[in-house]
Amino acid sequence: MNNENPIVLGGLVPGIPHPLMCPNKNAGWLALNNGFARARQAIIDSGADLLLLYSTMWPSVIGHQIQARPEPEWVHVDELFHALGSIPYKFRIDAPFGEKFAKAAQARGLQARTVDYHGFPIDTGSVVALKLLNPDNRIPASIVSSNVYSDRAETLVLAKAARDAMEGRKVAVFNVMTLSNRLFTDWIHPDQDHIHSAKDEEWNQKLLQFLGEGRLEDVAQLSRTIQSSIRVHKVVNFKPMWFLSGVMGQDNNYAGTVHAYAPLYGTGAAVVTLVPGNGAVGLKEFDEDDVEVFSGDREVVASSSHAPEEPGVPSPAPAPQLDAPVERAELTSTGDGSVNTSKAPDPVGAYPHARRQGDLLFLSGVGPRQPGTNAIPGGPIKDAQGQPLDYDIEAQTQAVIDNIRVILEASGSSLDKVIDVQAFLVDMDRDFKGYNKVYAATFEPIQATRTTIAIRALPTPIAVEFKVIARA
Amino acid sequence: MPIIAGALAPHPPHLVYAENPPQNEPKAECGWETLRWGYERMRRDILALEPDAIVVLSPHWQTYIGTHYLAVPHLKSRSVDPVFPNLFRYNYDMRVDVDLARELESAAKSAGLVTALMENPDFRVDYGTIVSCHLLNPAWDIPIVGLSSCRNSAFYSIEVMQEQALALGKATREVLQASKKRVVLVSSNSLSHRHFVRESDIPEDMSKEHIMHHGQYLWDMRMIELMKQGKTREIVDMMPEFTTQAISETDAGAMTWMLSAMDFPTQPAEVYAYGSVIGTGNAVVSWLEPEAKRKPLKEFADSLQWEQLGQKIKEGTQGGKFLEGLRNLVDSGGESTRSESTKSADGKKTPRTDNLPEGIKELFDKGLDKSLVKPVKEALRSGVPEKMLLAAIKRIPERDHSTARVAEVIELTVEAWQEYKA
Repeated sequence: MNNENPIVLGGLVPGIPHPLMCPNKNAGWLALNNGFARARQAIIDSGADLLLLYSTMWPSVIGHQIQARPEPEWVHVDELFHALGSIPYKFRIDAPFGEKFAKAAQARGLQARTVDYHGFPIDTGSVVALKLLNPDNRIPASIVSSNVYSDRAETLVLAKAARDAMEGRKVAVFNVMTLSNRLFTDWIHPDQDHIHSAKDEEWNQKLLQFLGEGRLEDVAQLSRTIQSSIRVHKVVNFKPMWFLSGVMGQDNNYAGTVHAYAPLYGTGAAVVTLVPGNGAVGLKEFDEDDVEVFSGDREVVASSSHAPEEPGVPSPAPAPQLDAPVERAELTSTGDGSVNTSKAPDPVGAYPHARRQGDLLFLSGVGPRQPGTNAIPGGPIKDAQGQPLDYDIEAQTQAVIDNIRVILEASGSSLDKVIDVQAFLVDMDRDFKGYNKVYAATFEPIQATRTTIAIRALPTPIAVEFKVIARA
Repeated sequence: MPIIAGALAPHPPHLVYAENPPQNEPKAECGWETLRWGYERMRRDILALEPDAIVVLSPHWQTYIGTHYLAVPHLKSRSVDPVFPNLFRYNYDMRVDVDLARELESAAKSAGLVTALMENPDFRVDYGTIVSCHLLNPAWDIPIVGLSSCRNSAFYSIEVMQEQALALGKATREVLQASKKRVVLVSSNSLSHRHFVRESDIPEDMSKEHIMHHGQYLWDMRMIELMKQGKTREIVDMMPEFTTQAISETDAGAMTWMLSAMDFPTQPAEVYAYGSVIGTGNAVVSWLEPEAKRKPLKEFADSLQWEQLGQKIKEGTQGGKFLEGLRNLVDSGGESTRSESTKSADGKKTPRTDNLPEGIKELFDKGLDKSLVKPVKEALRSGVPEKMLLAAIKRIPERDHSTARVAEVIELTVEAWQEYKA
């Protein structure tokens, strides 16, 4: 970690309300309340100017939601422990950060939006955490939901988007969660509280050992195992560790402190803080791929999934580019939106490679010919005398896709923004299978709409051509 | 027959949003009409039964320790859907039948189930309950009993959920069988329940609406076909597999509870509509108890509240002297409140109604369906006093003023008259 790290403190706290509502009824609940107090002091000592919560008790379906009401105020009652009483609150939310966070998430391919509504139901976990960690609203807070469907990639990218939005800030980030999460399913007297099973207790102790040693990324990489071992299958899986590790830098280099650990109605509740940069274990060693941009299968209503810009709202930062940028010197772009590039095969008529109209990019038909040489990968389909030749449809199809990629990138777009493909084959019976196989390798995750048409001939001796529409 | 109907009443907030009721802040242009129109038909059928209470189990009041019951007489607040706050910010004002809630809770506890009464007046009712109850009865003039969803399917398995929900249904049935209240049970849930995770710029853009997956659709159709065949035991038997395969919201236990409470009705269900909402599969379905379609004579009389005649009826019915009261009513020639209006403005008489008494004729002039002329004439020919018939028709709530309902009241009035004469 270097001095530019916006995270000055991380940690996790439980969201079940007893440490807030009735700490004196059980020694463990009181210990947790005291643990909250020590975490609160750690936040003050860190100099944080923003408290970010990721709450497992706020599930979302449409991507992720970020609280952005500057001063939400309500009298909250927990849906399960309503007999403990009402919790009036008025919080101080960093709405501009929430907006920035949402934009950053969108720029990384995620669905995200802010919520700014009177009476929006802030979840019990967030209420408990803010009341105990930041009781006087000393620093502004932000809260992000946990999407019920999100996997590791989506959660990790969300964490990176949070970091994108933190420039110039000092942030304390906390998960609202328990370790083992099996509640008792009958009412208990406070004196009867204990961890639900010995197995859960053993796992919790292992997690506390890891966290105490600052091995956050190790815990994150064990998330699926932990989920299957000590977590009740609810809609929100054990994904908060992916988020916390992603925000904090995906390594094991922290000074961990377990401020409290106690049973909380059967669950394993812990208050833990992690200070960056002082751990002894060292840097990460990934077992799984790292992810920068989310490009999963979420484009169910793709054509309208991107909200129009509101007047006065700055455009989001462009999504990070995974590939090397196109050399702009080779690009010709005219004022009418047409695009030509020397990296694509020359047109065989009076048309540009592409033309931008509004937010859309329309490509002229693209074949497999190579730029400069006009060579046809996989061979031409006939010789100069018109005699049929054997050819490789898979190689031709791949060359078409490569040419499309070049034109899109020269136009400032990319393959993953393709919306619609029209494919033309001169021999459907012979070539569809091979073309379809190569097509799927690239386009299956993109899920563009597609129409495949058999035609009599193309202008050059090629077997396949694509016509593409993409988001600019 | 205290359980007069069961309703599968899904709660996508989109349906309220698209309806634009005054209670909801966001406004829509249109949307999900097939489901909304289906709801309108189910609402008409169920309200015609004149229920005393609506008992609803909602998946969005999630409790991990037992089943909880709303037990605060009056709950008024603002419901904001945490998932679709852009669509649903609804100011509700509901009455709770606390006595019934306590009875139901006590019976469930006696049956060995874990329960709790929710008595905190600051409690905010979940949006699933609000949406289903609004769509069933937007006037909110019938008391509610709200049950939480005990999340056994999450904590243990769908089979445990089934076992608990079946027992809860049995306990519910035993209470209601001994009750004089006419109760509608509501299972507030979708069928298949995999959502899209993106939303259209215009949420009500119906060109973007479709079922999430064909497999879900097939499962939903399979379940609906069983409903139409009256095979509710088969539905419950298949519930674990359906819930798993279709990622169904039946995991909340509401449908199992309702069918168990109704003792697994065998009459064909009335399927009013099926449609997708942001990818989920939703059916609007009722099971109307055949014997509940008419109020018993005594209850019909008890509910008669027309201005000048109601009090006479009530006086007459004290001590169970209903027939005597009816005779008093007829003998007194109770005045219709509108008997002075005998003609329409232009004096035009139609061939089919010109021989009717003035008061009744006026109803036809004002739009009463002409197909009712025949039953009206038959009723008068059977000796039913004109003013009795007129008053009976006029006391039907405006919201329920369907041709079928008027015909039913005419028939009921004839029966009452014949019983009196006998």
